[in-house]
Amino acid sequence: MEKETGNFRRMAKYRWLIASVCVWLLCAWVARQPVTQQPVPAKKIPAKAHTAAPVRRTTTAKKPAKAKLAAAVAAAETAPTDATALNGQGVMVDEATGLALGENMVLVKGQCTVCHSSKLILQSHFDRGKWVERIRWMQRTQELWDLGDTEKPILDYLVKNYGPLPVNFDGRRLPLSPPNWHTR
Amino acid sequence: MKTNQSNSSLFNRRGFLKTSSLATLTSLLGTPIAFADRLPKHYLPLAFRLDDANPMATKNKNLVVLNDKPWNVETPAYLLDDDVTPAEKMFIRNNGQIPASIDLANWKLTINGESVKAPKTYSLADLKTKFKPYTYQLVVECGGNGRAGYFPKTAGNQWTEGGVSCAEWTGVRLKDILADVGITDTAVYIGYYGQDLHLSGDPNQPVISRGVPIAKALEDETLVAWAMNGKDIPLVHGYPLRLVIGGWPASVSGKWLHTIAIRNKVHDGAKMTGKSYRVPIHPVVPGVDPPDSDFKIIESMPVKSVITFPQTGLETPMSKSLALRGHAWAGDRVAKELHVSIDFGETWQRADLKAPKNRLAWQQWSAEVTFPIQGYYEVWARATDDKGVSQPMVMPQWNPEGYINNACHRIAVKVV
Repeated sequence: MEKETGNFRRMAKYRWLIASVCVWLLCAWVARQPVTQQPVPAKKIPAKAHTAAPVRRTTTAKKPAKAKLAAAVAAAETAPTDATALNGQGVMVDEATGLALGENMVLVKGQCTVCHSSKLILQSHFDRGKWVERIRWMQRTQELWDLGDTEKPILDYLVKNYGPLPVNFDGRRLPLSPPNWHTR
Repeated sequence: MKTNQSNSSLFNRRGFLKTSSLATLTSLLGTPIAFADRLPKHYLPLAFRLDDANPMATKNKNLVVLNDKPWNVETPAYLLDDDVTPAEKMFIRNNGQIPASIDLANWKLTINGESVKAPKTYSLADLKTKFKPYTYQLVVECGGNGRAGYFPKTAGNQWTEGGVSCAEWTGVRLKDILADVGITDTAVYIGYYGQDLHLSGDPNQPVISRGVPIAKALEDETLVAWAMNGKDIPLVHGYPLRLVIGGWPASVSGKWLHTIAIRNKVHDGAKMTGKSYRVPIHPVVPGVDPPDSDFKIIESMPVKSVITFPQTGLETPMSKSLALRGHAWAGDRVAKELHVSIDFGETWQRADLKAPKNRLAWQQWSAEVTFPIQGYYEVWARATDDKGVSQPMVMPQWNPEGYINNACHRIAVKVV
């Protein structure tokens, strides 16, 4: 009993000190809370979006890991770049994704690179029926959403820029493409 | 937050990144981390998870990236020259995302399904101590290897000839595990399940879950593996545990393996059904896509070969003969002969073809050719299996998904 009374008296004497320390600890805890956000993947775009959807910054295997991390560590994502470049086939493309410039490219960039890389499109050469079949397969089995009004302009773009290759081919082997000649 | 065991030395006692770790990270980035003091405890920045942030960091820089989400990367033929494929030259074929973290201490392999006597679970330590380990060189080839050569073009990664590897795998025979578990005579098929994550990010959406008939599963060479070329399997190739089933499409060799179900029917997991890894039962006119019911599952891969030396594009002097070499394989079969031609198949010269190191490994071949006159040539290679079946010279039977194109590999040579 006496000890408890003694402790209470000490607390009363140092009450301002104790209160100040508590307030200080509270402030220090608040200050320690992280303000930066961890990188958040792009949200899925609602089907009815007409305007250009926020673009997810895609990277290719050739970009150094440090550039990707520096972007992730920064407090806020910068605005999407519209840098263009000429690809190996002499076609003007969006630099980040390699997609051919053209009407509705931004719709494709926004909707089609949320889950997979643009390289999947770059490898493809289909007629309209096959592009539709691919979209339906993704909707049926890979959680692709309803594209709504964007489906037709997306298909128009894909058929125009990634349509069937104009190759007359009867099954015999095409000639080898000219290689880089070397003497090793 | 689960962390890779081997990274525990990066953190101090209190769970924050050590000063030395931060210094390493800063030099990797070329810039300090602006909010380094705010990094949560036990959080491993992406740059340290180089394997899953960028599996290309440890790969030969001349591999060809077909897709980077998901990762699909092929090995040019001249980089397949090693008898045993090293990790930095192994092709990558992923259907989804590499697991973001691996809880090694708690990793389990569960055997369940309709046709087990009772389900059983093993830790990695159990697998490594309770069973005899085996090591085999095994050909792992993507079902779509060669797809780029099909016209009309099909969907899927446009592999040329580099979707193949033959590394040395160490693990436990699946048949020994199943003998320990006990399976009933209703067993028809196995189906694997792995920790890879679907591209959509939905943890409940399976990425891929395939299997093989029980007879193939019980072969001596069917391994539940934990090591590749004597070391831990690289993360991108299935760390810490995977199936390796040689000679069949590589999609049966499930990665980041946590469960194998013993089925009383043909397995029906993700990418077992529809047209995945299937070809038409009745051959079709190129471009024709029959209904799903007219497709059959691909089993053994067909006979195939690759020229790994020289690299295509060699200018070689007229005065010397040209040494050629490469590998041949034939799915469940053995390659019996390998021939090369420098005149588009008018004449063929027999190569020296070695026996495989073990069943389902590839086989080394070598040959020497001389040229009649300076000029441009193509060198073609054609393997024949032990049932007398050879590789075709032209585009083989077209199929809607572009699988099993085993047409001859050819390289360009200029004799000067």
